[in-house]
Amino acid sequence: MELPILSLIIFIPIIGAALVFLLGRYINRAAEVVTLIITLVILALSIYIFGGLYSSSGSGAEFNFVEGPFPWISSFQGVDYYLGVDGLGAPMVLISAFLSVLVVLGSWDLIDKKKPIYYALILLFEGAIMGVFLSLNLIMFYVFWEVTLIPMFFFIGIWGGPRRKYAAIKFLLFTYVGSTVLLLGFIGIYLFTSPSTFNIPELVGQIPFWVQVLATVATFIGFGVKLPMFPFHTWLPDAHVEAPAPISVFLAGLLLKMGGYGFIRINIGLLPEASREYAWIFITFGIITMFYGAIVAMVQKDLKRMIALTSINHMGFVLVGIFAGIAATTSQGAVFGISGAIFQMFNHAAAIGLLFMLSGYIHENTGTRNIDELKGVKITMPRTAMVLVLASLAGMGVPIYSTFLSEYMVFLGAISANIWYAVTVIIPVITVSYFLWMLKRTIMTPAPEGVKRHDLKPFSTIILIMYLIPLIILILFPNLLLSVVDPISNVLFKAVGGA
Amino acid sequence: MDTPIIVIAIMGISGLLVSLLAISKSKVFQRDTPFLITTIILLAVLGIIIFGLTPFTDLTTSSSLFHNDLLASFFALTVVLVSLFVVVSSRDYIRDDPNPAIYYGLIIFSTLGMVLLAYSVDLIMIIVAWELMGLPTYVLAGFRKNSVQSNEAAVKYFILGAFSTGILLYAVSLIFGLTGSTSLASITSMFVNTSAFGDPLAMLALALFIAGFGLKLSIVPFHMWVPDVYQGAPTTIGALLSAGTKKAGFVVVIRIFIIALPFFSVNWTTAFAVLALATMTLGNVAALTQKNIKRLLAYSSIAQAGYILIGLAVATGPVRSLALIGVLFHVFNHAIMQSSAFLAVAAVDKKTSQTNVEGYAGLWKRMPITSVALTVALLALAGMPPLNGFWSKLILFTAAIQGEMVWLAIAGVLNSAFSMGYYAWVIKRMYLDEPEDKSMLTRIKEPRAIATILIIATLVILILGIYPNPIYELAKMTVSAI
Repeated sequence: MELPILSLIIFIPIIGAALVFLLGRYINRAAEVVTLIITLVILALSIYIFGGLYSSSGSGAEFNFVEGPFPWISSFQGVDYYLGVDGLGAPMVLISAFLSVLVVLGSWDLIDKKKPIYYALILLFEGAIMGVFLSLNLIMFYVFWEVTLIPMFFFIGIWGGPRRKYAAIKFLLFTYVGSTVLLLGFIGIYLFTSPSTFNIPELVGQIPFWVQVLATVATFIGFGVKLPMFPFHTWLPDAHVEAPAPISVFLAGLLLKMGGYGFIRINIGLLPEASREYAWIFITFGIITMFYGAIVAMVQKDLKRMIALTSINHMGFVLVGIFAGIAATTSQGAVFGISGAIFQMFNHAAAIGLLFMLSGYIHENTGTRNIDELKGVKITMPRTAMVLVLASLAGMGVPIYSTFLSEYMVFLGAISANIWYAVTVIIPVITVSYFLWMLKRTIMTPAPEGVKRHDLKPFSTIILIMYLIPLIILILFPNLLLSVVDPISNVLFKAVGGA
Repeated sequence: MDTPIIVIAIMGISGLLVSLLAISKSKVFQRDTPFLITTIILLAVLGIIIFGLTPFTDLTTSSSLFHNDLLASFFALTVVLVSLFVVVSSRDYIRDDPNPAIYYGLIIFSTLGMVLLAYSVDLIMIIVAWELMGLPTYVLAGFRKNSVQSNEAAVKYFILGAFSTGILLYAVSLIFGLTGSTSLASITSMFVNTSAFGDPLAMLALALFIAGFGLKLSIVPFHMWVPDVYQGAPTTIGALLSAGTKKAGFVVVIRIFIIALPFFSVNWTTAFAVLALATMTLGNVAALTQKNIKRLLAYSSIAQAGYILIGLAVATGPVRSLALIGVLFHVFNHAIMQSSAFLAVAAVDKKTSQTNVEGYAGLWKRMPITSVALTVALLALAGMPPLNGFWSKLILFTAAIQGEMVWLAIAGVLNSAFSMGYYAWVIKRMYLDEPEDKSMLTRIKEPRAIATILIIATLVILILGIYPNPIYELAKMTVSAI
């Protein structure tokens, strides 16, 4: 019998959460160390899975390591335990495992209260998010989707900043309302498709057009809130500003990816005709989201709020890429769009994660995140200044990092769908301008007299630099990722009768 | 096995004996012995009911007043479980109150009424069981005779309860006049043969049944008494009322409307659908503004009755089986979630005398077990996966969409999202808010019996959420046996 690797990836962290909580109450530092070990194990398993898909070429197009379908409620047809991973899931699982390790390391420095429960929740969140990316059954997907809310609610509410209560409740209500609407869409798909099932592979190509349209309305809200898409984005800046830095990494790096993943898995995978028909609506909202995020980010005084809005801006790329891909006229354009979107999600997770973590360290060391009060970082905190420059370059999408490549692919996809979408090319200009302005105010401006600040510790610096490793590897060898992702993009595009 | 007759014998005698212990002067005989006897009796009854579900026994009964079937066993199981939770928790909760023997005796009688209600298939027997279930709870609601609120609750509950029985009796008399029988089986065949379709008297009887049951099931617009009574009554009795007697009422609704009078369904399905919408919406909106947690739970319980009505509204159409599974499943789940939530409130009430949500600030540091149990119960009530409430709601909404009442499903889903507003508010109070008085942060000893029950209930909620198969299959078997 083969080892059920995907189940292990989901349930080792969830069971580990209980263990960590109990150990952490009795043994000092046990919570931190055990959590790190568990996340490292998960990272190893994720690399194994990704390697498996990479080594057999073209296998990204279908589901690998499949477990199930085993009946979950035996006489409720279609509610099954069903796991699998393809070229879409594998990068998401890999980046989730990678970020979890870094988040745990970052939390060692930045979290100092109620550690046992904190690390238990970290593992619970990791398990749940893996469940989202690996489930092949809509009900399982929904269950894990909702389970991610609870740890996040407590992360923001307990370890957050001054307005944490407001932010936590707002986050919970926004996303909960979004997901209940999503559930309605899933029930609709289940009832009006024959055979009635929640299993994603069995639903492909079976759903009648009118059901697709109704389900698209539900996913528009459900995934749109998570992504977040304008006008459902207002929970995000509040949640980010109040959340502690490691949790912001989870929030921006992983939780938002659930929205993008859902759009690809459900909208493109299951509702392709409706998605193609109404792609322009999504793309329009995507472009508005990009511009909104970029323009509002310019005027922010809080460094972290600026990064949060950058995150909205970047997720706009994902939305545009996905739907430009499905609306494209050539398979080349489609692959650029969809692969570009997946690639962008991967890169964004690392880049924005670094920026958030860094802003957390800056807040820890200087007591402020106000950009205007951070004068003279170069002199007083040289290591911080170096990391800030490197991180900002990643945020801008400068060609030393793969963020450049993914944004470029999204542009190509968008333009090949419709020449007017070329308007998106303005976005990086805005992004670069506000990042440079931020750098000018923090690094290039001399510090006021007599300011003494603590710089980053060497250990923290190394952790922060580690975020950049995948970005640098992937600009040199983009095929490491794209050879896994491209097959699935091709399959998705062919499903709508593309050439 | 003749379950109803055996249960009458056991519980009737033990109820009398336990009440008699009140004349004793010794604390042990007054307080601890009644508690022990009641717990053992309830466990025994639970055992008998579960034994009846096993394949070793035949479900039969010698009396024509009862019908010993899976439906009856399912409901009896649910209510006895709730009573058991309530009785065990009462060990801590009414420790310092006078006359505990009477309290336990009355709970036994009320439980007997609920169990008999589940088995009754004769209108007269239904009324008798209904009264046996109701009368002890009127006394229990006013058990704290020195408390004004408790008295108010008792009087209000008694008047409306008596009113509801009167309405039901009138409905029964109309049905008897039309058919000449009080047995549900012969009523069904009489109506089929005489084609009383559209008969105004029959319509009146239906309306009176809905009103009479609606009073106890807290269906809008018959819900007015619920918040006052749940607030005024001792908290454990609130749990008994909302998780026990209310759930027992649903079995009668299923027996009379779904099984006995399905050919009138044109007339009552729309009524049920409209009542479902009104009940859940009003329950949720009103709950949002409550400051007292018992009132909040009362309104939440009203809203949950609305979800169950969704299932009943579509239970005669093509999705009969799925809808009834949803109803049974949600009845069971709600009984567990609601009793868990109420008993957690009872623990807080006992230890800190706080019943305002304001006073729950920082509760998780003072009473961690209670807080976790309350959190899980509230999230389950909101329908958050992977907890049991999610599955039954999923089935109810699926049935509603398939039964071509899509608007009802959408309303249900929106309500369910809306309800998160007040459930999350309580959770926020417990975990995120700090009390102004820092001395309110030291851990206090949690009442042991209640904590045990809370842990059991929380585990049931979690396990049925992760693996709902057992109860789903039981509900499915029950429905296919109807």
